[in-house]
Amino acid sequence: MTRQVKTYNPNHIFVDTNVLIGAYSGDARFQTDSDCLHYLYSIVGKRLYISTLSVAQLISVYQKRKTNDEIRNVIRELQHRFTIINFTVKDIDAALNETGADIEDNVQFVLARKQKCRVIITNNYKDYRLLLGAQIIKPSKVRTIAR
Amino acid sequence: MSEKQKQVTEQREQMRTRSQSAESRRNSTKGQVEKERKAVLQLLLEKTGLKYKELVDAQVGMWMAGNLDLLTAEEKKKFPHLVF
Repeated sequence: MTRQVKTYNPNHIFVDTNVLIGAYSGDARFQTDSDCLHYLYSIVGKRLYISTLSVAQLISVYQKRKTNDEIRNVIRELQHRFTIINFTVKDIDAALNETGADIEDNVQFVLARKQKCRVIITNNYKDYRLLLGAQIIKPSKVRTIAR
Repeated sequence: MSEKQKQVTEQREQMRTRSQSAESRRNSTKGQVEKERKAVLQLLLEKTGLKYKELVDAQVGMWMAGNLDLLTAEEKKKFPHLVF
C-alpha cells in the first residue's frame, strides 16, 4: 500500500487579515472578530498563524486611525499570540497560479498551505469557498472548532 | 435448612434484587440520558450561536480537507471549480 502523505494539520489555524483588522479596531461593530480571537487564544493545543502580508496590511490600515504606539502594541501582541509566516517571491508566483477568485486571498491561501493549516478563519467566505484544501470558517462560527 | 444454607439463599436473593433494580434503573434512565444529552447539546448550540447543521458542515469540511490526499490528480480534474 502506498504511503499517504497528510497535506494539512488539523491543529494549525490560519487567520486572515480582515479578522485581525476588525478585532483590533476597537469598533463595536467588529465585536465578533474580537470574540473570535479571544476564543482562539483560549484553545489549547492549536497553533495560530498569520502572514507577514497581514501584518503589513494591518499597519497600513491602522496608520490613519491609531497612533504609532498603539500600532506597536497591536503588532507585539500579534507576535506573541501568532506564528507569523514569511511572504516570499515564490509565494507570489504560487498565488498567481492558484485559481481562487481573489488574488490577495490566493496569497493568503498559499501562505496558509505553507504551514499546512487545515482551518482558515476569514470574513471573506465567498472567495475562499472554492479552496477545498482547508475548512473555511467565519469568525462568528469559530466555536465549531472544538476547545 | 441449615443456618449456613439460609444465609447463602438470603445473599443470593439480595444479589438478584440488587441486579434487577440496577437493570430497571438502567432501562428507565436510558431514554432519559439521551433526552438530557440532546437538551445539553441544544443549550450549547444556543449559547454558542451555532446551528447543528453548521457544526456538522464544519466537521465534514475538516474531514474532507484531511482526506483529499486520497484523490488522484485524475479524480481532482473532474472538479474544475474547486481548488485542491
